[in-house]
Amino acid sequence: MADTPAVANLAIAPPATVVAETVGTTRDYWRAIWGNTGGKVAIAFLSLLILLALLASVIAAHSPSELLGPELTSRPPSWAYPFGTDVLSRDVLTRMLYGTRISLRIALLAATLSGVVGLLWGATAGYLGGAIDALLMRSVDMFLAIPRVLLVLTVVSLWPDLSPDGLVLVLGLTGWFGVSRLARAQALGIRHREFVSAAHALGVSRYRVLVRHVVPHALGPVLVATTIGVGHVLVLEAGLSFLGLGVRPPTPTWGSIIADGSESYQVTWWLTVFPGMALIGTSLAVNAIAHRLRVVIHPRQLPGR
Amino acid sequence: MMAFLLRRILLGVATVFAVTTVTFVLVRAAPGEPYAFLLNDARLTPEQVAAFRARYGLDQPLPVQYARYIGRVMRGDLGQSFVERRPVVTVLRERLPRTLLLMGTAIVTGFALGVGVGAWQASRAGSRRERAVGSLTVALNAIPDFWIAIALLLLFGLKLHWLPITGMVDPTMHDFLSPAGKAWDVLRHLILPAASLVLIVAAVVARFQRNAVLEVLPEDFVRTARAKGVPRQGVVFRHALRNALLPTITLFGLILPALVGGAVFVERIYAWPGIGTLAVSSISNRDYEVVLGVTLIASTVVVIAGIMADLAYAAADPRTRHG
Amino acid sequence: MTAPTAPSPLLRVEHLRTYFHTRSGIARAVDDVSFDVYPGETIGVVGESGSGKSVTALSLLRLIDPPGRIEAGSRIIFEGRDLLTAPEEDVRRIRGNRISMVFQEPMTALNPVFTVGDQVAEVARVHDRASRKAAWERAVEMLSLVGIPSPRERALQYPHEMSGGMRQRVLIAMALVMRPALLIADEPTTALDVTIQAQILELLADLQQKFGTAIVLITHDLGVVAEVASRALVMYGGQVVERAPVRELFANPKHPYTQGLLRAMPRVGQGLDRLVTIPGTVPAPTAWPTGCRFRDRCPLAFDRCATEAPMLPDGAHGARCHLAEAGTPVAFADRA
Repeated sequence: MADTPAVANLAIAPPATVVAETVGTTRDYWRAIWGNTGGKVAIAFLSLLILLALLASVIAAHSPSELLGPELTSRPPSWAYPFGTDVLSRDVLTRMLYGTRISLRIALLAATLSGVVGLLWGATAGYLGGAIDALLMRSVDMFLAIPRVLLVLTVVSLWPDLSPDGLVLVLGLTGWFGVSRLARAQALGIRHREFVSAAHALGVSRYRVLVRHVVPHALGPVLVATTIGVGHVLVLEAGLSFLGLGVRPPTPTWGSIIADGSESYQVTWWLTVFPGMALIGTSLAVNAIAHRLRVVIHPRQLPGR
Repeated sequence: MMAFLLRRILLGVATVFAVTTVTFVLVRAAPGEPYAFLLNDARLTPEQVAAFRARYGLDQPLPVQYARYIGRVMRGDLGQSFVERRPVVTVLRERLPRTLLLMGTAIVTGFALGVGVGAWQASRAGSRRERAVGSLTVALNAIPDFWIAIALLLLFGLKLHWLPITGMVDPTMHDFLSPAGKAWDVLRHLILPAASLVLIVAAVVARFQRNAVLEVLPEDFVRTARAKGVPRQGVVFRHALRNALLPTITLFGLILPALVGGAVFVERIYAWPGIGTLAVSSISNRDYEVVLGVTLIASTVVVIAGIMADLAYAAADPRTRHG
Repeated sequence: MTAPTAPSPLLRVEHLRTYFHTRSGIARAVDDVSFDVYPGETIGVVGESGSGKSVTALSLLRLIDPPGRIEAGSRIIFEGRDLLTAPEEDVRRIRGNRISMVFQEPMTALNPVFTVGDQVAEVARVHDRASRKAAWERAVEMLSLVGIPSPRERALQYPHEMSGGMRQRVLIAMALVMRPALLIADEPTTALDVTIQAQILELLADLQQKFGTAIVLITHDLGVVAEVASRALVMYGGQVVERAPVRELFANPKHPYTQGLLRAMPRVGQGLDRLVTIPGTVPAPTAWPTGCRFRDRCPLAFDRCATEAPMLPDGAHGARCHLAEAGTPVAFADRA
């Protein structure tokens, strides 16, 4: 089976039948990422971004919503304002730095939330099997048929003025369906293995077996899916903010900075280009890492459809 | 085959039913009572409010409301658009074909392009040019869909002035054009938004198709074809690709839900008057019956397309066709 | 060109070496193999799996993919031309046309998404630029020639709708569309039932009579060789270890390995795995033993076998064995 590409803008659900052959250790994963140039570049890029985000208030010359004055509206990049200023005369570099904070925070938290929910859901379904499995996974099939963007838009339309944390919740809770399929496939794979039977024979409770054996076994593929998910959420949040439906202004995110320039693309190109580059770069870095992680778990297609 | 089809359709119906339920639950779980923004209008008398609530069944217990909601959705009544003052179904009926035109064009072109590029890549796997194309598809995968749309708009619309960038027709000239002229007018407006989606689809399909063909190339029948003296293009594009196309059909079902999301952004950016633009403007206008209608109709389309993809798969594989 | 008295060979293979350059080392799958094939004859190539016989077959049509490589110094002269120096396009024109190949697994050797008629017709379309209709007619004709009943209807079927024997017939039909001068058949009967095996061998012999095609028959089954071939090559460890007319080979095998094979064969044309009585297995092609490659399994091995590689002498009957130089060694005595 050709691998399902890790795509930023098309959140493709992975086929349900891909199973990881090996469960890597933390060291395996780290080696896979750090062991090649692409991985090193990706890690370095992301580290730099996180550092910039953490130090935003130290580095930034201005405050993100500070208006610099009418004579400084829509200024192209210059030494004083390296990324230019926006239509409201705010410093774009400052807004980018603070925007990195919000954008990364939402992406990481929401993807993690998806990972956890998907892991628990899928592992439970696969481990318990039978009617519960059918019920849990059929509902996942149904959710997968709803375009995620529309699901998010629906929620956003019903809960206007969401806080960034509310957005994390919405994005996280709409992103775990694919993850749960992977976790289930892993759980199915070990359900009848000796150590699980042995644990049952010893009278270990089902809950304990689930937590101690099944869930850890499914961690590898879930980690990969979660990494890919970070890219998805990043782009999705940017899209929402671009539509004016994500984080409320004046809080900057990469998407909302692009939105600020959307009335005058041609004139204020820097409002489109710099956040866009940040999005693409981060997306590429996250995908590169996910790709390296995949190598560790040796995904393999089960025979049959 | 029949049993499979039947199961597939049943699941599809169940999915649409579930989507309806989800939307109902979301509406009830939302802060404040439904239509609160309308009912809180200070100019309304309590009698008017009561009449309104009775008319929409808001005074009934939740299970009754749920049953009624399901009932009217099944009858094709998706409620009323407060902004357009028309039934949501009427609005959707007008908008949906435009979105289908945009997405259909993008999918057909994107798959054709992606399959071609992927097969070409497989036939040259590892060469310098192939790796360059491969990097391009990886990069395209990382670019947000709305950003691609803006970039194309900036370059081909605003900078080069080759193509129009808003709407579906020329607002002043369209009515005076001949039928062929009208078609050409729509086509010109279609190119940039469709191209934005095509790039995304093609990049995904190309990466998938490349690997699929590479997996078929070591098969025995490929060696047989080579031993027959079939030229290399024939081996890759006829013998290998024909087999490697089967998994690509399933990719269609996987891509579609995500592509609907992409279409929302692209429609918005190019002011394409489809359901995506409608959804976004309805959210801003708090016209949420329309938003629910869009979600419902889009999910239905996705479900139907998924069933069609499965049927196409069965029809394309001679091993299942006669089964 | 052909001299009337001593016919020149149709195919002359000289010092063929096909190596696979893998990460775990160079696998010398075929290592200095030479033989001739004369027009119209059937030559049997016998060996266990891993002996290099299938790689030899693929090398003849230059169908070796990386990491495999036909090494410099190898020559494959066909109808007076070295196929290894010819441009790829010229070799392609020869494949399926002057030299055809029939593969081992009729299950997987046919493309599952095309009808069998389509796949047979394709040969005529590729090599004769025949029209769709003309090619189809030739396909139907070929299918009938290889003994497929109601060929017109069968041509419209897909491979999965046919039995293994029928599929093998389709592959043979496909190989013979252009009436090739040489047919390479790689284990054409291995995957089939015994009765079907016999039918297919008979069919091959029939068609050979009809078209005058020379056949290189690759098999692990000495019984098959005895039935259809006039000369035989025994391969072991990527090399030809014995070359002889078939009757000679059975009457007077010179190489201990050949003797082992013969002894392990209970009766002609029957039984499945009759190589079990030679102790040991074929070593890995990345690590052939020094000297004689068979010495680890040879009951007659002595000092010289470890240090000096034996050569295959010229002549009608020769064996790559130090002992064979003097006379006929007896390694595996026949059970009385």
